[in-house]
Amino acid sequence: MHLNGARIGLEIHVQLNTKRKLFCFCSTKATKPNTQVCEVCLGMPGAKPMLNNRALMFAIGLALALKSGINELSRFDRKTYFYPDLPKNYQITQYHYPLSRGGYIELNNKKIRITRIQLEEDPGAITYTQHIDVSKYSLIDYNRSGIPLCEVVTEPDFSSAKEVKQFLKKFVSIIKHLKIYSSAMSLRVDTNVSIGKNPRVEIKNIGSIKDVVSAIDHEIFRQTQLIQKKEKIKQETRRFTGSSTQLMREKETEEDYGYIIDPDLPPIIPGRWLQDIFKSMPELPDQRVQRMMKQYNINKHQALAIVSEKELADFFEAVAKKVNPKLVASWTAGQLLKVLNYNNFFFSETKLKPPQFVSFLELVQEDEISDRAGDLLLRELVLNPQNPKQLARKLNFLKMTDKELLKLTKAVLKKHRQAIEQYKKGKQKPLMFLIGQVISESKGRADAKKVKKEIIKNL
Amino acid sequence: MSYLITNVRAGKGIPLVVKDNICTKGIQTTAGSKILQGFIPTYDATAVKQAKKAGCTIIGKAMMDEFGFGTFSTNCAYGVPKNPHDSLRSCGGSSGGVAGYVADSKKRVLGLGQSTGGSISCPSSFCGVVGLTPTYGVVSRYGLIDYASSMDRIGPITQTVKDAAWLLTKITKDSYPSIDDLDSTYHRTKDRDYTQFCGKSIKGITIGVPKEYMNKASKPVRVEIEKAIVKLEKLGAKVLPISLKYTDVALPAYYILALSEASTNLAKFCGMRYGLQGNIHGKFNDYFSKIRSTGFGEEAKRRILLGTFARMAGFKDEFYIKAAKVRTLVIYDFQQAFKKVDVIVAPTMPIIAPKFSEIVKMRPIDVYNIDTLTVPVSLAGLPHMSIPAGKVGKLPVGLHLISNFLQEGKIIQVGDAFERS
Amino acid sequence: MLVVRVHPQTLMKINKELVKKVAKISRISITEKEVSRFADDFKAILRDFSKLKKINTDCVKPTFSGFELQNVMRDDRTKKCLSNEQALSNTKNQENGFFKGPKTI
Repeated sequence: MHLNGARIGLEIHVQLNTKRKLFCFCSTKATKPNTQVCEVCLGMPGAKPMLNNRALMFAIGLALALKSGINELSRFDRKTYFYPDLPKNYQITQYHYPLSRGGYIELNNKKIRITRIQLEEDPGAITYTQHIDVSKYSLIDYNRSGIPLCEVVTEPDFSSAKEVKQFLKKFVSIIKHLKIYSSAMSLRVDTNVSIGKNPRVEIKNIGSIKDVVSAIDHEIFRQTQLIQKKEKIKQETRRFTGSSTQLMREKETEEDYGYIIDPDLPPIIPGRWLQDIFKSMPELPDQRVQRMMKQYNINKHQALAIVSEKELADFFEAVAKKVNPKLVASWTAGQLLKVLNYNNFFFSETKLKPPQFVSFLELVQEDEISDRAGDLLLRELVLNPQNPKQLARKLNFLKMTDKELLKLTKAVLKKHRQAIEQYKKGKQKPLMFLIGQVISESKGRADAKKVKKEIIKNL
Repeated sequence: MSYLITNVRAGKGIPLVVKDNICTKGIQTTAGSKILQGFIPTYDATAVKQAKKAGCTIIGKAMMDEFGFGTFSTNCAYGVPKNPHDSLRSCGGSSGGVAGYVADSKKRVLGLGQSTGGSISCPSSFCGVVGLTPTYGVVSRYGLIDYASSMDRIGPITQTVKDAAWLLTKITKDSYPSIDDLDSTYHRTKDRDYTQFCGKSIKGITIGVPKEYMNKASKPVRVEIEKAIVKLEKLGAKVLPISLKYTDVALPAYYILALSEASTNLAKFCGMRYGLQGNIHGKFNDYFSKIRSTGFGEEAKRRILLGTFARMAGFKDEFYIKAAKVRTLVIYDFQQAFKKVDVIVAPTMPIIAPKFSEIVKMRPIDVYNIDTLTVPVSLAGLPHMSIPAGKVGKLPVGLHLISNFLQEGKIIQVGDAFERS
Repeated sequence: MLVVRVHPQTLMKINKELVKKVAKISRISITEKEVSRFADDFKAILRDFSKLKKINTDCVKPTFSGFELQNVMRDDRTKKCLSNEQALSNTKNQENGFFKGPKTI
């Protein structure tokens, strides 16, 4: 859904793949509640923060990858507000002097500008034993408190949910290539949506790319309706319920955060690490596209489509070791992605393994299935990965062998002597009839040209 | 007389009394506030760990102004310590309980105090003991319940300069493998034995006397300080008059910055996870407000409100940022002075310990202004030490010695020489 | 975000409304009497503090810390943390290893 004048901006919170939390030495991997906690991340009196250098290096790497300008001096701030999941009732974040400013990600025909990139800590997690309206109290697990987040803020350069999806896919591909993020980590997005000159509405805390797209679609629809009814759009904060956006009550809608520089944390002067981080950066998506085009002799459109997800690119390269890369690319950037898009899946959500795709492509390569059968077979394989040849046989997709064709042709010819007689008399229709019979008996497995040849041979 | 909130069973080592805003594992730590009633830390403050390692035994947690908010230790939810020289008068604050205990004790006892705006020096001056506030950052603040994170320091309160030097050596000593893993503002000093500065002559040391400080002191206090300066001259020191022109504005700058930071440091106290808690029901904001209003004393509330105000959007530039800029000027002021002198000498406090009956009549702003001589050096992060210099009647007068960053040795040297004379 | 629409000529506007707003932000409930008393305190205090305005700080950088260090950080390694029992040791408000807290709605 796309309305002229829609402006959308994002605030993305990436959980960084570190061993310890941002400001204490608790592990980031926890199972039972409140088992990876200490005085620091519980906000106990007297505890103090100590920065995790890997989190900083990861954030610098991301800033460099997004071509964001790293500030000469960077500081941490205290953002003070009261909430049960915030142990100190202030969050350590970066407000006055963030890590970097500016930068962009290029989509097909558009640059989406980055406003700023900063480090901050995650609060704890609140749950309820019963429905939130009925429960008398909340339950809080502080395992998540203090987990390192990198926040990336964009300018409101998006004009549709579709662009947002493209951007987020590429963004996730970048952070996975950087190895600062894996699918096990959380990615949460706040988004601002406005139409024309109307006020912005913020939708907070959306946990997946699909939900972001859905939330934006719903919000644009909601605002459009209001405009059409000539009603006012209020500047407010909403949350996404899965099916609609709802007004958020209290929490941060009436706060003055009163930011001060956090005096417990000395400033960061990142200059000394920039060269080293830049030199040791892993291959990023854009570079990978260029390399793959050269290495596998595939076109840019295909390469871009394949690298849009890191798991897909890794998958492609594993398969391309065994099968002609151009064939792999054609099927990967073609039918495979079509199936994924149609079902609204990311490749990382499927369980298709390289050996299975190799087997599938070999069937195609050896002409054991037709292209059309291949399309159908692949669709099934993506949703239910299994041995491709067995599945093809089960579904009757395998083309007939010459032996089988001969046998079937002879059987059909035996049955229809009359038609043979007719054909021998010079009529064409009986031949068509015979070809049709063979194909029908073969349940679509016989190739028409081959059938004609075989019939004529065996008359 | 009572100076302790929590008594601890005595042990074998050197008796140590600890201000109750320094966390002690397994021993109640309240910061003098109702809102931390019953809080038992699961860890020792680093300074406590080091003191124990050096052979000290904690004998009690001392009364103090709630969170350090006060100059007379009258804002304590667990009792007000009385000056051992005159029980109708204040011990000073906010480390009044430690200073009073150390002064009152007939035996050798050491104290661990804490200072943000002069809370080690003030009670040391009023009680007639030695109070040493080291350079900001040389003693780890891990486990110190925060008032103003950029100014808080832990330091010794003792009966002699040598004891102070000894205890400082032990609590700054980086003997613990991961000591500096925990406080980002801690910086290692070379493992230095501060006691080596004791027993030395002060011939040739230049001493600066700021006229602004002398002018702010009451006449009886000034007389004692002038006598003390003469004594120092006799010991061989050279005396130079100096001017610290940003003295006056240091006080508002201090209060604005300290309270801004304090209002964020105290946000965590809301009836969750430790301390004063209620039955969990109702909306979260109501619950928080109820606990905080019940648990904080009036001065704490006043300071939180002022601090919140000073960093609010719309007022931040005029107050918080402005104060931070003036802080730079105050530091500069001292740096200029230290180009000419080794040590600055002045009255620690403008007055002697006031009577409780006088204190109740003071307005908050009048109380704040009593800190006028300790606040500049606190804002600047410089080391300072108060030593007993004389008496007005039976009430002690403290002499303040101030040196440049990481130059604790100089003030220990001068203080020790004065004490021995 | 709460924007207090007060002109920076602050002294004139230290009134009860402002005190009430600040109290709300600070989560401290105060009685009407306390509001008046605090308003008076603030007026006196801020009047005294207005001497700051007279100091020219145009070319002065702010100092936010007591002793300016830089780049203080530690490696990405874990240490033993508190057990669940230790973490909960200071509260009765707990259930099945969780901390109990007030409702957020």
